[in-house]
Amino acid sequence: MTSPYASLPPRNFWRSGVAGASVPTFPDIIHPRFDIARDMRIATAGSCFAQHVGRFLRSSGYNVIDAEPPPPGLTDEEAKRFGFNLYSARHGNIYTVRQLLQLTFEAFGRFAPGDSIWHRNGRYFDALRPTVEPEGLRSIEAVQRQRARHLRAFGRVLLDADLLVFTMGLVEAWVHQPSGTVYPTAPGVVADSDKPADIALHSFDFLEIRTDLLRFCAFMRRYNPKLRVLLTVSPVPLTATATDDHVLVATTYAKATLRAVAGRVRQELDYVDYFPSFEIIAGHPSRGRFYAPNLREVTPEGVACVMQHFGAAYGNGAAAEPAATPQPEEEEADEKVICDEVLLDAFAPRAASMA
Amino acid sequence: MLRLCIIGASHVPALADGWARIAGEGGMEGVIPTFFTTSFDLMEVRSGVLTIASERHRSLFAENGATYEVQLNRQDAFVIAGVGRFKDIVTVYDHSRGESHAEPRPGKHVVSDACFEAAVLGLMREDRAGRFARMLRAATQAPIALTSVPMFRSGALTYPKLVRRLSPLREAGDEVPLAGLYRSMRQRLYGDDFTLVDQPPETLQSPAFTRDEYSIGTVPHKGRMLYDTVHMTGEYGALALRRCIDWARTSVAAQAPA
Repeated sequence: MTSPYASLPPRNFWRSGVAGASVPTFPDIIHPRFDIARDMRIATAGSCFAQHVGRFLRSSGYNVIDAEPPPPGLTDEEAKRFGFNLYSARHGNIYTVRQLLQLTFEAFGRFAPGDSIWHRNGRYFDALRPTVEPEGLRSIEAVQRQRARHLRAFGRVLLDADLLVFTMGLVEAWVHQPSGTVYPTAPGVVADSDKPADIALHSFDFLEIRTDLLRFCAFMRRYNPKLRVLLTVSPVPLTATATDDHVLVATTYAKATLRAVAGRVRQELDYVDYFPSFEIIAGHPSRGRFYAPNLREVTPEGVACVMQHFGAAYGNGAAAEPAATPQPEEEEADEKVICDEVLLDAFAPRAASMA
Repeated sequence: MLRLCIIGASHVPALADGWARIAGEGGMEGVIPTFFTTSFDLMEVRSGVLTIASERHRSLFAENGATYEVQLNRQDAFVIAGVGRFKDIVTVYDHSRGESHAEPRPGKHVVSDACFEAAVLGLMREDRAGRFARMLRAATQAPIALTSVPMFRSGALTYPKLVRRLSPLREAGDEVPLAGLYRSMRQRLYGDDFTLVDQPPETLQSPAFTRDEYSIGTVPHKGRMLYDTVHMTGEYGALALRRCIDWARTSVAAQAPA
């Protein structure tokens, strides 16, 4: 009788797939379920590692949606400080699947968050994305106005996208008990709630996260049947845990849970795929080489390695395509001509002109 | 005697025309203006001389009898025309509304005033005229005043190519805060090193728009007329130049040894 392993490819064996590979390259580590074409409209969201994914996709010429672009004039650094140029909409980091689900439901009028506006030093903050305006806004109305526009933009992103790349980061979250609203930060970190006692820590388990992810996928596919989802798990460890566990134990639990959910949901839904950035960065074959000295932040080399694998699997090498040169608007073109014409006048001799 | 060098690109001709109008007036005796006009990209300062970087343009200017070199130490004061464009504020406003602005139309983003101001400042920093001003500041200790590009002519509010961008300023009632922001951003960018000479108030129809009668209106180009929104007449130039001369007299007098 032939062993069922006998006909398997090298990628299925540790000796050839990992130990024999020239780590940190893992040939054939990804078997994509679907192609990612350059003209696909891609949305990105998730925890902070997702920013790297979005940046890579944009710089590689993929069609990444930006429904809330920054005002002209901001440098990239300034834009990021105000929550732009990070994801396809200006929602800041989405650390938990519940947060993604609630934001989606809210954008489609199915959820109304509780205690959604916090304050500090006389300024008001959107509690669901408190870092996008680092100094807050002047009034509750301004926050509401801004959020209403953000929700419309995020709803458009989900309806327009062919692919959502979502990076799962945390299982711990701070939850408003009366409404179930999940926040990306604890009260008191960026801004303050009027009723902090209503907000408590919750650690989502496998079943909750799986259910949330399935609900999100099912809900969105009703509105956008072409939407596919590419899941990743952030390799960035927790900065801190509010549970009783040691932060290393809490990190392992969180990542294991998220990784398990991603694997399970991939098995359940054929339009969901998983990209192993977590394995590439955090797996012991990489010997921690992709972490900064604090053993938390991922180095640029680590990001590059992940993206190299991504490009090899999905993007035919993902060579960057030159960005199109922006064409001036007709009004701008006229203005330049006018200035040139007026300038010509300066060539004429003038009585007062003298060196 | 007051030797005043007026430097700039397309906004200098109005000032030169203005000088032709006021040169013979009482009080202008002893004022010796020099108009140095070319694209800001072509201007350079070499060994204390303001000149034109391109040899071809220098020759062209020389052939036409236009100024192509200015010895900086032979001038008492400088005016740089066209530093700062209200258009930059309009560009940001066209994209986003600050928290203190009126309720925007659908499609506009809402940002904090801090974000709005950072964007405006970013665009204004890109101004070639501003970069030249810094170059000149490094080359001379003489007083330097900056005048901005005039506000759009009010007729631009009905001009088809601009009405979408400009009319919301007025309809929303945001002209005053935006004109105020423009002034404060110019002050922030240039206030420490230069004197800012404002647009003559009598030429303004409102805080953000210039009275139509001061605009040159149209510019001929290849057999058709292009609608001009920010270049002004000699009458405007005369009013603006008077303010610059008043500033220069005061500044030079203040610098003179007791």
